[in-house]
Amino acid sequence: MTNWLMSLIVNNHFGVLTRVTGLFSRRGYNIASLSVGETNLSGMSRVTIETQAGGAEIHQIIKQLEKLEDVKSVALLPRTETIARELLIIKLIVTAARRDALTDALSVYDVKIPYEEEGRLILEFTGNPAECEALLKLMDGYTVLELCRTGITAMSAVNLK
Amino acid sequence: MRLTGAQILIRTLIEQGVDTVFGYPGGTVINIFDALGESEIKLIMPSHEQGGAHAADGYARVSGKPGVVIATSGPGATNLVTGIANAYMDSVPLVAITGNVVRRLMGRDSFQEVDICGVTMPVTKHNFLVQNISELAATVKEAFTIAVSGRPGPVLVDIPKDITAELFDYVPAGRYKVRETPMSAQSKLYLAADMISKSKRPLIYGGGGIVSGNACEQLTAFAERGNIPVAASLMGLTALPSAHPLMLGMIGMHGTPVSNFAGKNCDLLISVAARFSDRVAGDRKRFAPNARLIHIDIDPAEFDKNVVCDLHIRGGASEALDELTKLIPENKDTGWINEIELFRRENPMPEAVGGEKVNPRELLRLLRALTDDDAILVTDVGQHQMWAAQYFPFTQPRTFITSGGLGAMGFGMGAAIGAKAANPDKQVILLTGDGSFHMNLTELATSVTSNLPITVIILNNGVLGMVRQWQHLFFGSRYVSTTTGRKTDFVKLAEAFGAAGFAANTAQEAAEALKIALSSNRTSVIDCSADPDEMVFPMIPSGKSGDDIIYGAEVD
Ligand SMILES: Cc1ncc(C[n+]2csc(CCOP(=O)(O)OP(=O)(O)O)c2C)c(N)n1
Ligand SMILES: [Mg+2]
Repeated sequence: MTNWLMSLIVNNHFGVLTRVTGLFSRRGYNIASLSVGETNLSGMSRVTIETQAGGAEIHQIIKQLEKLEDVKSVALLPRTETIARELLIIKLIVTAARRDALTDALSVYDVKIPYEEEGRLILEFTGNPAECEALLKLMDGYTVLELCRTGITAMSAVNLK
Repeated sequence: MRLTGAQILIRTLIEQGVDTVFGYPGGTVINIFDALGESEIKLIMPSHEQGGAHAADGYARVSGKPGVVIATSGPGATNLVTGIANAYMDSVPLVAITGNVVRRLMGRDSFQEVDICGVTMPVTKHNFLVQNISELAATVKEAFTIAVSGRPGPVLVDIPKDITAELFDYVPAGRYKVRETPMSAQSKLYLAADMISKSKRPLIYGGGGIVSGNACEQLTAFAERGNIPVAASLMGLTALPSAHPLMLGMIGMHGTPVSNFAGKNCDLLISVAARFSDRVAGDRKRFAPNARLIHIDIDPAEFDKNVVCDLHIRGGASEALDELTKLIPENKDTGWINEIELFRRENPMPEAVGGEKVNPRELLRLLRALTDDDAILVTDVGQHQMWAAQYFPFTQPRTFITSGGLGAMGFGMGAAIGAKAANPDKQVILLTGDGSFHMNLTELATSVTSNLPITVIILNNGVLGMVRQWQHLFFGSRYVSTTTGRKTDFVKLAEAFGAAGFAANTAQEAAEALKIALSSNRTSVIDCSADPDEMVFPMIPSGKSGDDIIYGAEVD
């Protein structure tokens, strides 16, 4: 099993996401993360899916996706030269005593704190999947009240050249 | 010109070349039926929407044109689902049109509201909910385009009732055009030709796409030039006449001994428009274990889905076979063919052994003798279906209509009616089982009323024979729910529907009844009393390979 990132261009219709996710569940493929949004192409959306699959299975997934009428293109993103980002928003409890330690620990990350009150705060972070995982690991030592992840959105830099 | 949505729909159907539709009325399609009534389209009303969907499917299989079925919202639409799924599994071009509630009532659990697009998403190539009358004509045309292009399949168009009543400027959308599938690069064909010319023991595994892709002549030319025997899937059985020396018959679970022998011993397997289903390649790892594999298919998603192949060629069967025939040398080597012939002679299919009642194997031979060459044989699902596949000598493409991928009991009545509607001049015979016939026998009314006479032969073993066979072989003969004990009098039943009924206790009586039925031009039902203990052999148990064939079993 390997982790894959793929990028789909789909018609921006109602029901398209159901078609895509329905195909995954119907055929027993797994979705580790998914994000959707509009693009610069009018009437088109981009769906970024992270999936775990064997080498043969990933080809099946791509070909099955390509059969959907609403899917215009499917691209596997290269492992390097891909800009992959995820946004995390985390609400946690931090006692006054540990507040400074937290600031220290977070200093290596470009974390924002858009909201804070007595003993509670919200962190906001955008980074690549590895950074997000590392930040989440760091949160193990704190009481997390709520956590949001957007799922990965990504773009290949290969065609820049 | 200002027309209602319903009128635009019907005009667009006519532009797509539709001359026959199967439809059942209801509240949300009442405008559509109103427009149908004033059009030249022939409207055939089934007893149940499922029958209508199977009829449209049978119509499409026989004619090669997309079949059209229309149903009302809610229960009308859900009744289509088995028929749509059946067409999906067997890659049959079908356009299903459903009414839905008016737009302002949608999403409120209104009377007879069902999200049929949601329901049919997994069993259609695509489906549409028409949301604006301006999209209607283009959507209907696109539905036909999708249904027939590439690997064919069903498409559903759901139309809210208010759109069918709304007025709009009618602009002809024009006839659909098949979207061509680009072929794989020529270099792949050279590679394939090279593999074929080097092979000493090649085998073609032919599927339904040869028949639906009108590639039977190309298959014959290719097989004959390369002197390559052909084993067919259930769907591919009419690709080559059964009597052709290179035809080995069906391969897989209930395949002929010689087909499975060839599958096991070939050194090259060329799959043409087939999909290595689990009924063919029960054990995916041990299918054609000694062979390199070439897979030719119009749908690249079939490549390596079930069985991993060495070379993939994307393309329609007819183009691919045409090209390959040009590239391969004429093969005069008879070693492999002789070996196969010897095996075939020493390992024939089980023979009909008398018995008191109508012997199924004998019945199928009789049927061939008494019917025209171009007669269309439709089946239901069960033992009778497998015996038809094994023993009926096929002569022409598109003359064997059966539910392959879905294995839907109840398919036969509707499909036979559809086949007859597509070909009123040909004999249409439905071979059904007592279990299957009970599912949709109400379509007898359609056959009689719509003047589409078919001959129904019930192989009445009084049991759900195929399931009972599994219970016998694998469940210690614990016959739960398969000995039906029904008291249905099929002769009276036929008469009650306005059809002719016959009872036959021997093959001879069946033959007599068949002669009368075929010459009468009336819908006829022949109830053939058969032995419940008869079993379908050979059999490769589910999940097993050609090494595990069962040739017979004792009945206790
Ligand atoms: C709609 C549906 N329900 C259940 C089955 C499972 N099934 C497969 S064959 C069979 C028995 C069919 O009985 P009958 O039509 O009498 O045919 P026979 O096998 O006796 O020839 C059953 C129940 C099925 N294929 N389709
Ligand atoms: Mg039966």
